[in-house]
Amino acid sequence: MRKFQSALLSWALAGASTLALAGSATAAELTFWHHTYPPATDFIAKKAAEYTAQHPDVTIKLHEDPHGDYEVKLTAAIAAGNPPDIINVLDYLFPQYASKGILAPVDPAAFGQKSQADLEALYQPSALSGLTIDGKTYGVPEEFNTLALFLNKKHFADIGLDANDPANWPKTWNDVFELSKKLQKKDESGKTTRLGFNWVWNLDPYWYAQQYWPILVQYGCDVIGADGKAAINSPACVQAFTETWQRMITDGTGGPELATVNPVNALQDFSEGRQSMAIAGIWAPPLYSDEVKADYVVAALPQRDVAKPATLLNSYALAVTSGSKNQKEAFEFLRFLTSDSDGYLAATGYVTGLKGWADTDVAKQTRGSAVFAEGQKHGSFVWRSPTWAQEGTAIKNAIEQFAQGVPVQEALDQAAAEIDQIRAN
Amino acid sequence: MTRTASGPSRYGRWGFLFCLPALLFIAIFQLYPVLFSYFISLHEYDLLSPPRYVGFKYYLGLASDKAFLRSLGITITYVVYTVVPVLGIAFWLGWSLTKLGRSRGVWRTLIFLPSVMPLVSVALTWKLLLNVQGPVNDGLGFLGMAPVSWLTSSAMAPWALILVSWWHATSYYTIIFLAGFLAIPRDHYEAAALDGARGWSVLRHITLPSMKPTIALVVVLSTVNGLKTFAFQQIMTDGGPAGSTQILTLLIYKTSFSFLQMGKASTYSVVLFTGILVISLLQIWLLRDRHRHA
Repeated sequence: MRKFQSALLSWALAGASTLALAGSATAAELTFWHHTYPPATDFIAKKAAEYTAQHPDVTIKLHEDPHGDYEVKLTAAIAAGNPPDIINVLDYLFPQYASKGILAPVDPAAFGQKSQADLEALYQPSALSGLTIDGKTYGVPEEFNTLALFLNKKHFADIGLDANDPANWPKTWNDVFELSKKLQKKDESGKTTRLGFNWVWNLDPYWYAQQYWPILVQYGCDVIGADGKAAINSPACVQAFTETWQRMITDGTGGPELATVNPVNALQDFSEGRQSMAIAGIWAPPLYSDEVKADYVVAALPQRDVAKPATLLNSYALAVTSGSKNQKEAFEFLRFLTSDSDGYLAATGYVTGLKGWADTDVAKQTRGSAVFAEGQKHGSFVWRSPTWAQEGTAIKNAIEQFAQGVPVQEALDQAAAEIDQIRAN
Repeated sequence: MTRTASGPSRYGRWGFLFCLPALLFIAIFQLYPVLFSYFISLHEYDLLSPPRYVGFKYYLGLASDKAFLRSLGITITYVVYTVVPVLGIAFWLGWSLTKLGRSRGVWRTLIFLPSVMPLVSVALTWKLLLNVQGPVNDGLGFLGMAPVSWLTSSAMAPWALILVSWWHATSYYTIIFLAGFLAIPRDHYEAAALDGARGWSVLRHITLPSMKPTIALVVVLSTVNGLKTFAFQQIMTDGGPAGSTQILTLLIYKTSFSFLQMGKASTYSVVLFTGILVISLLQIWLLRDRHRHA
């Protein structure tokens, strides 16, 4: 009897195991890697739970690392042949990743569309252009960003200006630097206690590029010329850097020595009320202190020529890896996730780039959404190159050199020589 | 006889089995990566596509590789200005500790503290202390001196890192020197004292010859550690400003993981490894105890 019971139990267990295995064969666990940005990871986790509730056969395992570390670990995972299903990739890396066959082309059907053209029609013009190579789109925007100038209302009031009045917004770079002098505060010992404005300093090359790219476009400066050679030392580029980045150093109103460097919050001085104006994207406010959150105003990005506006487009996008065994499920989850444009904007400050994002109630309640929506019309992505990281580093080094007094032309000549050497190898 | 003969062989087998996990660990996690580095240094490899054999391309390009030559210069400067002063300071501190009585234990603990602190926390703390508007410059201001751009000037940043290394490395080597000093038999000094030897004479004829193996150890360790240093530069300056503190290890890290040029980075690693090996062997040979081997 006892033997019979044991046999029955074994049979039942074996049956249960078989059923469980059969079940797991159809279930999909999607691994999703994202750079650390707490509001975004919280939002994704919430949406993932919602999706699993609707699709019990799909679970999403979220993993995050700070920007910088994230890219290193991602590359290592890909090299080890164990890529996540869904990854978060900066737009300038798309040419490199796509050319190596790491990314799966977006399946329009997963987004409920019949063709590539229909897929593009879902988004703002240019929203997919930074993610499209040779006519194939390899990702969808999680953030379709542009830049604006954030102003601290209280600081403006200190110098008798109402920051809510667009007439008081600095329109040109010259306006920014003149206003910066008025907003800067020093103590009795001459130590700066409040900055008017500053660029980002001592961060990775892409942070620098986000800030100088619109200026280079405004001045007609090409990083790489039509002949494929470095043009960053051209007269237009020298003028661009001299009249903007270098200007603040010579004015004594900014520079690396006055900046608080924090790779996790590049805007820490503005975030904590020690800086009156800062260039940032619509994603920035969740990082601000409560006091600054209550007091910021979003103005349009300053221009060289207000009649010919130019700004930056950038996209921390979502893509599905070609090595994923769950591509269909991954794209379907991405559709579910990114279609919640209002949810993204309210929870994270991210603009998904879908058409009409700025017309919803949530967008209208978001400070500066109209400024960002307008900026998206005049933006462009940073230059494309398989050796972007090295080229960006060469320009970053040049900036850090002329911040210390090296003539701009000399620093950019050196950067150009380095870029040519990088491209020649 | 048979038993006796088979004894060592049996022990050898068991000994080998006991060592096997450690040997496997070394083979997999140390030997294999080193050999793989040599292999990769002969290939173009970006982690994302299969390696492509390029022979000695990267080795031949080193002489004209500006980034490598600059980093090599920065590394050599860093090691020279770290090892020599640290050797002197640690020797003096270790010697001073031998003169203390009961309080020696307390001072020894205090001096050793920097070595047991997590490197990342130490580097971040120094980064804050050396900020242009930070406490160090506040102190200089109190003394009527102008603030120094410790970490934001290409001229000052290498020196700031060297100073921090003095603080950090001295603590460890002081303890090694102290152990060396305490191991010198007291009767050597007593005999010297009976012969009328004092001060410099004792140092030259008793202390220094007795300390030669310890000095050799500290010189080799501090040189190797100096050449391998990474955390302070990565955390405090990330090689900047304008590449002025980009030592070889940091260049290797960026070349491999930021620029995805694993072949070139492996070439740098092989050169660094060879350099460390040659310098270490040379130092050991120069500082060997000739009398002991005579």
